[in-house]
Amino acid sequence: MSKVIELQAASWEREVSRVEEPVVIDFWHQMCGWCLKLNPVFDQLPERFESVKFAKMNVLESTENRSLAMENGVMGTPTIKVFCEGRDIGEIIGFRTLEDLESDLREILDKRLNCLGKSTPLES
Amino acid sequence: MQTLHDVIILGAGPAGLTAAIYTARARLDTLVITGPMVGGQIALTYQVDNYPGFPEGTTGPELVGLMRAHAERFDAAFLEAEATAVDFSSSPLKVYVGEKAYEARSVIVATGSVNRRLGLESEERLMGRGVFVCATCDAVLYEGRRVVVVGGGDSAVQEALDLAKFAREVLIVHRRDALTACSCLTQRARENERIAFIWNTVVEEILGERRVEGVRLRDRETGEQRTLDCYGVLIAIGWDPNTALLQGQLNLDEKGYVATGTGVDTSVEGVFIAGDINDRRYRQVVTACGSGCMAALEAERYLGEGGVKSP
Repeated sequence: MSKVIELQAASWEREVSRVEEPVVIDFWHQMCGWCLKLNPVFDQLPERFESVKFAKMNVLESTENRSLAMENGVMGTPTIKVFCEGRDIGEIIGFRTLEDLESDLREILDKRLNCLGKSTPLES
Repeated sequence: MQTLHDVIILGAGPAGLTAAIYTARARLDTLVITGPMVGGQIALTYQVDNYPGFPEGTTGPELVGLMRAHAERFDAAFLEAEATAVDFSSSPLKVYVGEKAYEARSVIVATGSVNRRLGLESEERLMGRGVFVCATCDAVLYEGRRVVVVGGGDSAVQEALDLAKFAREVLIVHRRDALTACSCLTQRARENERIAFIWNTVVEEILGERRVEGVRLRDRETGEQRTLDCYGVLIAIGWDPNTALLQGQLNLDEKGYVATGTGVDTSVEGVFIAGDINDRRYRQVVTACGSGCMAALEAERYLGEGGVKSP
């Protein structure tokens, strides 16, 4: 069973930009109450999706993480962003229940089915 | 068969949790229906430096965890759900979560308060995209940027001070010509080089399609309008009592506050209130706990005197 990985800015290239499957990242931090409420919900997502990678990035853990979040337009926590070969293809802002989160995420992923196809090259 | 609880407590912030500690310890069958966030607003506050007994300070989530554990030690039950309706017109009192009704001989309402909003379409659309209400949560994401803070009371100035640790420039836009915040905060804000003030001015519109790009301001004296570029807008214009659930059930005043004589009683016997829901002035963890205690003792007294009278 796939798990949620702890992502650091230093491994962004390897873990996000250069992977074929979509990557769903929860930008969070420990001082944010809604983030703490979302954490256990987000942890249940991997078992509901195939060929999708899930990660969390703590924006307070390092200045690099914070800068990377800001560069990617994260302006509040929690923000969940979906990347496809490094491209930002959608976001979900704020807390959701598991059912709502799953359906909102499917909506984003369905719009980008080519990303799931793996063999389909994406325009740069 | 439907359980008849002695007490149902709505809300699990400091007021609701304290009430639960008291009623459960008094061996009253206590059900806490938590609402959206166990801990309420304090769960969204990182540093708590003024709660007695924590000389080194503590965090909101830690304090909430301790209060909940304390209530659970006395067997208070918790339902992590949001009440959707109440019926206080007959006894037993009823609280609904969707279709399901929960019944009790008394109810303590501790649903807290909600951030007041400007009421702009752009404000809702850009929430989380540059519009925000909590500097503790999001200030780090505004490092090196210009941010507008709307408001002039304690919370606005505190949020501005928290933001100024990261933001390059914090502009407090206030509709009056002086802050209403306490002098200690006002002094700190005036001494902070990153904080400036725009007086007698209101925000008419938040600009930007996908994220905040600026605000349109109007001077209340001259009527003059202007736009100001900014990366974020923090709304801190006060709080409204979270009493929507109580409309038509309890006597409320025109601002939505519950009409009360003792501070914790209501127009319905057996229904009590606690915490920020009716606090126009203090809004501290310790005052919320105090009124939670008062409401619990009143509920205990009411139940001891025979309990279910027809409201």
